[in-house]
Amino acid sequence: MKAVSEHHEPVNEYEREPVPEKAWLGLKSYVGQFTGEHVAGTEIMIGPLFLAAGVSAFDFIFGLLVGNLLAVLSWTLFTAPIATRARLTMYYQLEKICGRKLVIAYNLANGVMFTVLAGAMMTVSATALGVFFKFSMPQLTDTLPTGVGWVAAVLITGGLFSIVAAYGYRFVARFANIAAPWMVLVFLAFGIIGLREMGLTSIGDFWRVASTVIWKGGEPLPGQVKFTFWHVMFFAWFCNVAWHVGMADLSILRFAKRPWYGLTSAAGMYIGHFMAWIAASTLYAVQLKNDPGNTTVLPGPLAYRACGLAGLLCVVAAGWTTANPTLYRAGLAFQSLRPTSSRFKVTLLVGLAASVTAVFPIVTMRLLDFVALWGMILMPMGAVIFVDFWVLPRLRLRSNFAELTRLSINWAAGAAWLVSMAVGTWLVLRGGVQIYFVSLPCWFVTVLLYIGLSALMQRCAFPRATSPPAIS
Amino acid sequence: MKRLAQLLSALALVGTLTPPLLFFADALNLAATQQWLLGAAILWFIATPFWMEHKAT
Repeated sequence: MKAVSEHHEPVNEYEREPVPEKAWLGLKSYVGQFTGEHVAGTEIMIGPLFLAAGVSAFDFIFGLLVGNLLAVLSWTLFTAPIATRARLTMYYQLEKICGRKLVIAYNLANGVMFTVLAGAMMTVSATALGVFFKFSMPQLTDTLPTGVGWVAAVLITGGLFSIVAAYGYRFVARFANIAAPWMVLVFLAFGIIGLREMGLTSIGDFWRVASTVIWKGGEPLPGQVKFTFWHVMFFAWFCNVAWHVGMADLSILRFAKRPWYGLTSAAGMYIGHFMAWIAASTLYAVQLKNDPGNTTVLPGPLAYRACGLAGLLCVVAAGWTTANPTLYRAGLAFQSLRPTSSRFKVTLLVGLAASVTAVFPIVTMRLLDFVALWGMILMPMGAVIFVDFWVLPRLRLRSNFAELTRLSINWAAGAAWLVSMAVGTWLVLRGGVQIYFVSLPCWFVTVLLYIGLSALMQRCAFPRATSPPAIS
Repeated sequence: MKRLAQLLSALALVGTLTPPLLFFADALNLAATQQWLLGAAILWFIATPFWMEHKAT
């Protein structure tokens, strides 16, 4: 899962103009940026959930390899080419296409999702407190708070995170920079220690231990969906769909010198979404081996068992450093609704809301579903940008329709977004399609709808004899 | 000072990776591995702020 690192915060320059050449960034910046962003607190949560879903070694390892490759290609072939041509933030590009009011609606959806994600990160860090204070922590199937101790731990953690995010964003951003290289190695340590505890004694024996002892396949744990190769592949591909196909990373990649810098996302994918997920999954396998009845997925105890206090520190740091910018960014998204409101107060309110959601373990225990839902909701706007940039000019239709006609809402984009979400929801609720797979059909629905509705709207707006108005 | 801090940070990273490898090779028990990891973490967080630059956002 992608953390919203401090690098992801919108830089307060070139927000409404193309990034000039003097501000372009080199390859090294992107390698560090993608690596830092994708080793987040939630990785420790996601890894074990694959094992809980009864995945086999082949499906897990190769599903991750292929899915992450598709994610890297999506950044390289979808996001980066537009980013390095237009060199605009995603929000500004969207405003030109969809109009200001629709961007606000998108921001609102984004803000809600960021708030819930920050809540999941608070949950991850709160599990570290459980190691010392022995209160009842949630089981894999729990949806409601498990007791006063759990509620207090989450609210204290959430409260601290929120106050720090409101007051000292930059301090935590600096701490995140410092902690990142160390955290990557601690994740690697999780994996090495976990594999040894599962009986691996030589590298050559990896596949036998992986397929017969760790990821044996079979039935998932109660309440979990059975994961196959396709589930793993689509999850790995689409867990960051809002950023690549959904185009949120236009804001980052607009600084890239070359479009192929999108390939640097491989550093984040194969460290954060391959190595870290495998390592965290291995820790859960150790727990199940030692106590088959203990199916709880609690990052704190998992990390503590393997790496002691350093593991615990890693869980807290990973949760804290990723919740901090996530809260900040959620605050910014909501603040855009009322630009005059205080960012400090908005961030505190968002933190409070995130803390309340964190108390309910359903989101964290169903994190895979939540991440897939996030993609389904936000990805369609990326499809709109893709069509507007590449397809409409080839069909002799005008791009940036809202800017051209000074509309506050481009209903072609708005309807494509809403219908796409409705189709996705219908497919999940009635069509028997699992949520991990709906983003792909939704992308095509959005593309077709946006092309068709744009043709209709532009035919009405620009009758043949009339030229489109000039852009002021 | 900066060079010394960088050297200590590098040592901390080596100290984070080596104990798990020694544990894997049965050359170190888990309790000792965890102690080394904690020591390396402390060293990292003391030394690194002295040299790691922070790009203002």
